[in-house]
Amino acid sequence: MVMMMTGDAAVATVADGQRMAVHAPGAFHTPHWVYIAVFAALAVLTVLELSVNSTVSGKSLQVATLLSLMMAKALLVVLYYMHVRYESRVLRWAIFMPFFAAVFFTAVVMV
Amino acid sequence: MRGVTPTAEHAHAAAEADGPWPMALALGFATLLTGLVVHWSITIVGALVLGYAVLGYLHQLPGLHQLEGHLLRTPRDRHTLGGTSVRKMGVWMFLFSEILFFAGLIGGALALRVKADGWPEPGEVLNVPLTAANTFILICSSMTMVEALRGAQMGDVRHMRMFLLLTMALGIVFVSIQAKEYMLLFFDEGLRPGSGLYGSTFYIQTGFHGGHVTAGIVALAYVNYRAWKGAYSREDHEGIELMGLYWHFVDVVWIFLFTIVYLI
Repeated sequence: MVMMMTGDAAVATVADGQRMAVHAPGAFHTPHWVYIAVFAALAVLTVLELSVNSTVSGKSLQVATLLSLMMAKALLVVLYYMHVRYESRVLRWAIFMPFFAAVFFTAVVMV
Repeated sequence: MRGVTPTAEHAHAAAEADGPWPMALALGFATLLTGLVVHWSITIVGALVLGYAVLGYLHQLPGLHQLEGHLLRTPRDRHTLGGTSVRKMGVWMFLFSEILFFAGLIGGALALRVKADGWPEPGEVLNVPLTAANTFILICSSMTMVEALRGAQMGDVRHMRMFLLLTMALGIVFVSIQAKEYMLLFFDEGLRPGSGLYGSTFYIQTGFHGGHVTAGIVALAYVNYRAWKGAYSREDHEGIELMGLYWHFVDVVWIFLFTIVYLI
């Protein structure tokens, strides 16, 4: 069975328990345009990152902008290239929890 | 319960396939690495266990001519855990530990940096344009990796093989450029791992990432070999998906490192 899921509506129609169909080999195809759009977005965001230090004034604003762009890029790869957007809720939480823990502990040691 | 728990027979069959050697390999490697930071005598114990495990692994093969069949075999189990295949779950568990490993490195470096007296401005020591080009190469390799998976999903073997090969080539280019960058920094700029906090945090963060890319290239060589031998098909290509998870993870780590180490 080949399912094409193109957005929230399609995903929402699949109950969490049935998401396993996504993992059966050959069962799920991310639309090709999504891969290309993510690639283009990553390239554009990288160019924006490179221009931040010369266009944005103020060190703290520069850092905030760079970190936001970095998070956007990382999320794009994790959600679409690693297909986390289509994973079960449990796995999604399990993936993001270590990240939140890491950010929390980093903040603690920096203070 | 939706996730099928492996039965005792399945577990037994899986254990029989490889014996205790994968576990022995892991223990040996962990002991060896622990020894590197604790005491040399522990390193020797680890090396001995590792050597014993490798010999045991090879010994259970009746002959080297069976090695190819061993490398090309496809796991037949299709167990799931919470709706996700156990193989994929295993890779994710490995990646969870990797997230915390890199978080320790990056967080530690950040903590040292905010408490340091001075820190070079972006581009003052490091070559940002060269690394930006390298970043683009790694992003391209993520794109080629998903294209390879797409080829497998469509049953287009040629597409899959070509993009798998391209992904590995881009990985090699990335590591080569990083090696060139290291040489320039080490010899021309005089930035050494021992030349202060800046040097040591730079080399340890980017070095561990480069090591991960190198390990990914080795794994990709194996996946490429399997692909050329016809081990993947439209029906069975989980191996490529799992390879992709690791490869994209390494890309995500670089997204973090490039911004934090080079641009901020």
